[in-house]
Amino acid sequence: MKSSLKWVLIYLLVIQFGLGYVIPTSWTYDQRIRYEVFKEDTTVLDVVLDQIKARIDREDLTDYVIILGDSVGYSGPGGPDQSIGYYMSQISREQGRPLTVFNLALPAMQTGDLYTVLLKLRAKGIATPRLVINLLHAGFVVRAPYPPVVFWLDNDLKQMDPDSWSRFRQHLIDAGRAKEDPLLTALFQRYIAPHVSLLRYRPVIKGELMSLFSAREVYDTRAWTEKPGLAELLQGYEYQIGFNPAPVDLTEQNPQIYFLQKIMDLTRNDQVLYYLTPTNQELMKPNVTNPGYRENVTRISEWMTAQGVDYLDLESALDPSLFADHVHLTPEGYRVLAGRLLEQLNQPAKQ
Amino acid sequence: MLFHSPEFILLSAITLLLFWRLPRTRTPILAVANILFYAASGWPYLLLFLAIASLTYWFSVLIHRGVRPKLLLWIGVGGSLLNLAIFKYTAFAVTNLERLLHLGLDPKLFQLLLPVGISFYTFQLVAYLVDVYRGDLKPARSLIEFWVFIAFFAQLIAGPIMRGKDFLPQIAEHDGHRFQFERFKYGIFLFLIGLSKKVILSDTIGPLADKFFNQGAAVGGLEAWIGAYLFAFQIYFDFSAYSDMAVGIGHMFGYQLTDNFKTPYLSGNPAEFWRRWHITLSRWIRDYVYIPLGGSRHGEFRAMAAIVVAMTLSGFWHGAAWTFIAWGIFHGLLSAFHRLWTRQVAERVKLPVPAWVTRWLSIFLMFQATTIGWVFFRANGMTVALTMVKRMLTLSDLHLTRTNLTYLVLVAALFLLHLAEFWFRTRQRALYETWRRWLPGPVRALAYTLAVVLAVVMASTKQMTFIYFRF
Repeated sequence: MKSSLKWVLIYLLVIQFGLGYVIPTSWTYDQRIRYEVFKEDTTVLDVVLDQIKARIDREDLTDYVIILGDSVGYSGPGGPDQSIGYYMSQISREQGRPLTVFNLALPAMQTGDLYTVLLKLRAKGIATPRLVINLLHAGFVVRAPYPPVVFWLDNDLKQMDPDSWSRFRQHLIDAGRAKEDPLLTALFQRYIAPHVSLLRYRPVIKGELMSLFSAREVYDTRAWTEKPGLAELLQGYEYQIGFNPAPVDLTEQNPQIYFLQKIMDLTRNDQVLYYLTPTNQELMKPNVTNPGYRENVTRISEWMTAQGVDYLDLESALDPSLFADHVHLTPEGYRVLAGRLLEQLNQPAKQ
Repeated sequence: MLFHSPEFILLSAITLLLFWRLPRTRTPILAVANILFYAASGWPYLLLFLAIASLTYWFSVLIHRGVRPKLLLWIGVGGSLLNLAIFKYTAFAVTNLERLLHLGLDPKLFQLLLPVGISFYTFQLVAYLVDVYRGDLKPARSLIEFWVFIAFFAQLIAGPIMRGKDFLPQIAEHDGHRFQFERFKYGIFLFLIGLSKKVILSDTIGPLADKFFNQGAAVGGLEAWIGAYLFAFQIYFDFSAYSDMAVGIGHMFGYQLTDNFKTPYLSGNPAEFWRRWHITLSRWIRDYVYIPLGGSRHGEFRAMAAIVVAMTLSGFWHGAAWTFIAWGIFHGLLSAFHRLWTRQVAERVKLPVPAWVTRWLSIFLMFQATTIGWVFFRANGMTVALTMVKRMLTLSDLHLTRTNLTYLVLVAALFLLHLAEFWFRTRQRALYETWRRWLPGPVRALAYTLAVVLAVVMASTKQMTFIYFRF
């Protein structure tokens, strides 16, 4: 046993120092972060950021685009090769100006999450020369209390910007976030787990193991017109609340505005393109033609423009045939959107 | 504090280190560890537990000295049961009173947070006091020794329910125990087996079973069977995992805790099932409920009635809901029917088939009956449970889809795993010798390392709690 124990220690040391070298990047990132792995454990974001940092250093990249956002930036319901980042790279290559794109958008991410990702990028020493961020009308409406303004990364925000976290602590608690771990667990998660390779890569290996036993993912990229029952589904409260026509609060009292300003402060020296996510004008006609909603879209655009940032109002810019539902797009829709974003990015930056 | 949480592993490691390094202070070391462990669930609950444990101890001393023994026994047992009743059954009682009498009471106001392990420590307290009263057990030598026995952190929350006569002598003698590396290693082995059962099997099967039970009354006949089978394995792997880990930690401290499971789904009848499932609870129910109710001393009918009452109480002990009571009644009736069948038919009629055929047939039938019982245990309400059972028994609304067939293959695989566990457990010493003798150290170490890696990888970050923690 004593000899076995010695060997166990040797094997564990090999794992500790060698695991990072044998985990392929594709297990965590394939045109975008692998959502299934991220859902299992959000700390996988740190693994992805380290891999990105390594690539930037290795290839000496100075001009690249980082996409931040929600499921639209992530490009659901399509697959990795039907996503905005993929199309942006493809189109730029076709135009003879190849562009490296890192897509860090993830479903359900809110502005608080985007701000936290930016803090993480800064902490890892990853520059953000060009950023693309998608916003949604739903993000500006009253959160009562769902969805929380930090959906995934409230623990990280608490560590990286405790003041901002404290400011919205009650809101996060009301929305089922801000769960306090026991002291030892919190210390372990913060100071030990990130340095133990097996724990660090745990969700990545688990995701890969589970994928061996599960059916290959099928991406339902049909257009919304081919989905019976979708219109009825979208009458649900969780969807309708995003189109709330009540006047949006454009002061710092609104967590959306608070975190947007934080993001703007943090990226003052970068080229950042914000865009208001396209919405299916036909499917959501009763909502998007509501005068209150229209007024909100106008006011949001005016507010964004007043901040002096590069802003595209794409709310009604895409043809309804390009949608898979109310806001998500078909692969062709994402290709068109990628083209629009690239076109805007290639224009001379505002000073 | 879950067994697979960093704080538990740290607490155990420090306690073990001090326990073996400072042999003369083992009792206080364990007493403090128990306090720290229980305090993690809240200081008020710790104080309550300390108070009840202290009272029980002093009562036991007085009972042993012959000071109003019967009165103190009643007060002691009544106090412990009242404590359990207040926390566990008040909201249930108010809900049902409200349904019957419409008093305008809001049951939610009576919903108290259940102190962890209360059901288990209450049964240990009651057994201890009754054993002292009966003269089967001498009281612990001191309150601190009693506290180590009643609140031993490895088994406090979900058993095994230890008896004073099994555990107190081990604590009384532990200062003289010498560290045995083989035993310590066996403890680690059991702990890892339990950990693997929990994180690899139970936590993976759980969400699959949930998927079927969450469909409620809309579930089809085949889906109901699949959901119930999956839950049967989920609860077995979950609960036996805790017991394996508890017994394993016991060995690390040099204690022999009572085994709680012996591959129960290989039972051929209800009596055997309860000798293999949650063994310490079954024994408790037998010694402190069934036998005092008359046992088999007053004829067949009284014996069967006592079985049904005892099993119903066992069901009610699991949870304050009609579904748990129904689960208890179901098992009570099953046991009573089996007793009747054995006396009236099986002992008189000899079937012209080989014994192994009847054995496997009875295992198959018993497993189906147990699975039906689990529906009451798991379903969200009686209506759903009854609908599911009806669909299972009538085989109505069957959907023989490819997915369902895959699930059935999974169920079969889980049963084979159960068989493999039986095979392994009954031969574990010989297998271990073979393993040690024929495989070189580096290869064995590779297997140990892979087991650790697999357990770590498959563990959920959400740290799913053990099902029996809620009892």
